[in-house]
Amino acid sequence: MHTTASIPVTVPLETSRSASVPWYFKLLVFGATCIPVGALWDISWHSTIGRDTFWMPAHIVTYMGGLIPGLVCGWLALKTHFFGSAQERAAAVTFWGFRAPLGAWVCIWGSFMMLLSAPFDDWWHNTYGLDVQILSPPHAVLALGMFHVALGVLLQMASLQNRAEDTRGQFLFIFTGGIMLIMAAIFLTEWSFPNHQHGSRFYRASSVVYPLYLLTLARSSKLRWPATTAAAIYMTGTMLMTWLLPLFPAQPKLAPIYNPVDHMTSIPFPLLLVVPAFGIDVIMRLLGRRPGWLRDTGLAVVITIVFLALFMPAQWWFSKFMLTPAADNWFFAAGHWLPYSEQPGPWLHQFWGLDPESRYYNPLTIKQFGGIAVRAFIFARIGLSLGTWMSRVRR
Amino acid sequence: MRRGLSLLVLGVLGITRPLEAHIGSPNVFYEGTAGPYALRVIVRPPDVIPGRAQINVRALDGNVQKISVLPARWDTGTKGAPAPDVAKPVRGDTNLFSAELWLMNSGAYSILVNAEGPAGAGTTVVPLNSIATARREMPRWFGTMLGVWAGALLLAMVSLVGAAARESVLRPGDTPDRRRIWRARAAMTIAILVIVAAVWGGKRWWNSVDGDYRNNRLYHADRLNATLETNDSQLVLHLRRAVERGNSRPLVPEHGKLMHAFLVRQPALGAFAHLHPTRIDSRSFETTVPPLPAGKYKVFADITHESGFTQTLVSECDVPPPVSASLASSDPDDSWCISEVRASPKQVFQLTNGFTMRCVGTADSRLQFTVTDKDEKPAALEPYMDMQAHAVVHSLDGSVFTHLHPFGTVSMTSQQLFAKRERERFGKPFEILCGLPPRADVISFPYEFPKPGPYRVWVQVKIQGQIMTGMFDLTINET
Repeated sequence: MHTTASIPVTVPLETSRSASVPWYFKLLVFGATCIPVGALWDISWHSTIGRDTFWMPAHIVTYMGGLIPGLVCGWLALKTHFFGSAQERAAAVTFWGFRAPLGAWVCIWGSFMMLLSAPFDDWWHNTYGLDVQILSPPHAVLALGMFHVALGVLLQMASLQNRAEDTRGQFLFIFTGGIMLIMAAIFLTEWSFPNHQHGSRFYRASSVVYPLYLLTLARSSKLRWPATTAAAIYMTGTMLMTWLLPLFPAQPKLAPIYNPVDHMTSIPFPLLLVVPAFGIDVIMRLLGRRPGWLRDTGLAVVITIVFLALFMPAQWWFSKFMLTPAADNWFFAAGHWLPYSEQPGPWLHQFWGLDPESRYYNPLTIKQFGGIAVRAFIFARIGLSLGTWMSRVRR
Repeated sequence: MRRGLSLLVLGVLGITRPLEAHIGSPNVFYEGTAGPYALRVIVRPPDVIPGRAQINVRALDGNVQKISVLPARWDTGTKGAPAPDVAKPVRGDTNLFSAELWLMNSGAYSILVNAEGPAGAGTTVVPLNSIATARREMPRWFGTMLGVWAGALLLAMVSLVGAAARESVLRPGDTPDRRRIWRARAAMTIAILVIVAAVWGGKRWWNSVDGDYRNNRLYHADRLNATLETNDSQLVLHLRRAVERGNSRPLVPEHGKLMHAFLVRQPALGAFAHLHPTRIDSRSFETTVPPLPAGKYKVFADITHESGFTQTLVSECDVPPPVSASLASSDPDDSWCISEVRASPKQVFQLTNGFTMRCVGTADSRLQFTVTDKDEKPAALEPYMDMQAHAVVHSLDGSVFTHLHPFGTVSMTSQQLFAKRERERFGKPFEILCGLPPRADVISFPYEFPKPGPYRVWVQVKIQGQIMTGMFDLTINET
């Protein structure tokens, strides 16, 4: 590490096992958790009831996800810069002349980005109509804001974990990583239905996001099975929402109603991410302990092979099962996500994008597979680098 | 808060509207009975879809205690409709109720209005087109605000990347060395490149959404091509419709005619014809042209699709001097009016055979006229194509054209088709009586002019077997 200790500040790290995690760290994680909970609730709300207001519960939970970390980090930045002890100021980074932890600045940035999306989204609705899809430019701005709020929380957990000489912050760090995985999966929802999983588009998108997230967490976490734990948190969180939402009675309030639902629609069952995540953890334990440019590049090749060898068959066969009547139950909730505005029919039990006549034709060919593998390698490699950096973040 | 913001944004946006059904006059006006109650319904549809329609319902003879409204798309009807919304009484007006409904898809919708009171309950149906018609540009101040906000955040992001590369991995208290400072500068440069690429990609995405909106979601009326030819000493108007996406459903007659075509001489509006072309094939219509003075004419053609969707198609033609004084009219209900003589300043227009038409009011969401004989007694009006009267409103600047009936601006056929489909769906009686019973002393059209300015209004009635047209110039002031 090429640093010079030119400021004579003594910064004792708390090493006592009895030292507790500061209260605001837990509040930050709670705030970050609100984001995917609110977003999934919102998706179900729009699929079931349709009509919304600014103050509806799902929106409020999502806003809390931006507001709580934003306010906590705003307070933290003010406290650190103006009233912080020498120790606190020394454990901060400088941004436009002000000093605060890096994660706090990233969180504040994300909150302002989420705020920016509100007038943009409103203008968008008035110009192009209410966007009923998840992916739209103003929603992307909102998602970017949410991502940075969660990333800011993750960085603060990383700093806590990396500075502590005990286990403090380790679970909070990986929990926040799991929350970020849920958020990423939500962003890919429209390409990730089981019906998409014999086409190439789903694997193209997945090969970018999941290797990046899983490798970043696998490299930076101090837990023994970090990728598997994060994937398990993603799956558990998503499954809880899949099971809990349909318990609540609700009816559509917009026409036309093609699917007369009488309870909140479910959200799609999660991807089986624990399968590739376990493979990644095994490889990381065997080959990934020591970072290095060449070593990590070779490691990314191995992990790409393992990831694709586990992820693609798992989803290929699981999606096939998900389109059968056997998955039509409360546990897997296959097709229970169908919104009121879509006509049920055989199409729900078919794979999409495989008809050459369709404008959405995206078969999984050898050439497409090559592109998927290249993407997975690039983003696995980036994930390793990001993870290496994150494992060293102390401020 | 969001609604308030929406209104604020709407208030300052420059809005342009392309041609649509009822050119430049998007609001829907209807007067009719819902069971024992007489209602006037005004629907202000959204100009983007999905969007919110504002609905005002006035109980014309009081006694209504509760109004509920329900949107139903033509293909799913009430079977695919949600629970009705109860309209709220408007404070300070005991007979006015207001509600807001979302229209989620483009196409033909109907608003079912249910009234309840001491005399029981009743329902009426108000058909309307759910179409996106607005093209909005982002106001400069709003774009500047978003740009400055986003620009500041992007600059902040570059600084944060620099801070992360420079200091984040240092032990508390350590200061970055020269190498780390240069590494931070390199990271900031990469961040700038990534941000520029992201902004460029975002702009491309936005352009593609905008293109999809313009090409696929924004309503485009069918193009109409009007040509004239002389055939056996008769001038014949050929109209050919080029069908736009989504408008391909077959046509159905609107009060007995598949097409109502209006020829209006431009720019002075001194000649007017209401014709009913005969269908030649699914796209083509033709009709003989009455002996109108030569000149440039606008052609407005009203059609109704079997879904209940209505369109006003627009074209232009140059009418040559009449070749023959005699006319072999294509349709017995064709009529025309050639006059530079307008109504007097007191809004009195002299019809033939001693009859007089007067414009007696434009207030209270109604255009009202009387027709009297030479003894000043109300003339006995005969049904003209099933109606007490027809009216056409044309703004002098050409931006507004509307075809009105005493029940309003809606399509009677759309209303009846909706009722028929409901009967077929549920096997239960579902009858809708269109409009209010006609009054002998006054002709009333529920309507509000969409903007202030000068208008010409033609009113057509049938008396003693003869179709007569009154012509009025009205100046609507800003209220």
